[in-house]
Amino acid sequence: MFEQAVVEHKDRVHGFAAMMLRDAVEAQDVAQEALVRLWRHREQVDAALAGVWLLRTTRNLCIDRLRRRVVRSEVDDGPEVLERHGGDAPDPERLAGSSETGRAVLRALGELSEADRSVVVLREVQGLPYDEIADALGIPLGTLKARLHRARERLRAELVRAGVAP
Amino acid sequence: MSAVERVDCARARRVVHARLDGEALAPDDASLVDVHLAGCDACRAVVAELEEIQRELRSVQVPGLEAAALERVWERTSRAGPARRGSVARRSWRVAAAAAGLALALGGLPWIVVERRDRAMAREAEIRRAAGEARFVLAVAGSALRRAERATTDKVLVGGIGAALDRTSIRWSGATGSRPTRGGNGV
Repeated sequence: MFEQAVVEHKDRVHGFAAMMLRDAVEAQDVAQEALVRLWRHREQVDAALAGVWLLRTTRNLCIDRLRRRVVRSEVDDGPEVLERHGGDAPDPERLAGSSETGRAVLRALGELSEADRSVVVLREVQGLPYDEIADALGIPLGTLKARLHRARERLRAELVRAGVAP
Repeated sequence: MSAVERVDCARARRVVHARLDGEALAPDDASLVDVHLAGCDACRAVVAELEEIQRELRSVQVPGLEAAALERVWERTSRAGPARRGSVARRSWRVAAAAAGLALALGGLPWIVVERRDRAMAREAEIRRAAGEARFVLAVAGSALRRAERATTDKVLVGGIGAALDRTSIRWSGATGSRPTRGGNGV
């Protein structure tokens, strides 16, 4: 079960972490840690739910990392840390191609809250079905849809504010 | 009332989001929203922006997990070796056994060493104690011997000499304290 789940979900797990953390090194670390944790809990995780379990674990690991950044930014030179992690990483040119709008959308995505960004990434970037996202995030379907609508509107507002509205 | 007026902008956008989500709309909702959008420039612009954002997000190419990172996952999990393949229960027993062995090594071995050391020290202490007692006995005996020697000497030289002389042929003559004479004639 474990090997099959890793092969099937590793890229999704990594992609989710990369979009949430916007740091290539941290995304690799989080993806590895999530997969290793699946190995440790393989006897408790239903094979059919391994993907959801991995996404939930990945999200929790990302939240931990994001919180640590906040603490570090309060200790270190905040603007530098925020610029490094909350800026364009991972490279928007590579992720969004050559489209100026695409790069702006990724920048706006980085401005969303963790909760809003999670639903946008899982639904719009990774194309997961609603029920799977709701299970991974532990929220009702109605809440998920409302959050997704709100996140889309905030993205649009951010683009308008930045003067790059499509 | 026209169709544009019957569907306000807020309701139209809720339906638009449902359409963006790929939900199947009720025929009435779909037609009413289409009519509203046709007559509302603001909502039409918003819908165009939302659709563009969705297209951009869906075109994002996120790189997969690198091969080296995946290899590290295998090394930490299914290829980590037999010690990590067992169940949690088996691993727990192994850990417990290892801990017990370590405790025996750390606790038992010094105990054996200490016990042997204590036995040797006890033997040495017993020997020292016996030697001390022997020295004490010899000292007491020597002291008693010396006291007996002095007493005998005093007795012979001072008080007991008369009795001693009585047991011999030497007889006292003259005043008390005068020196005895052998055979009554003096010596």
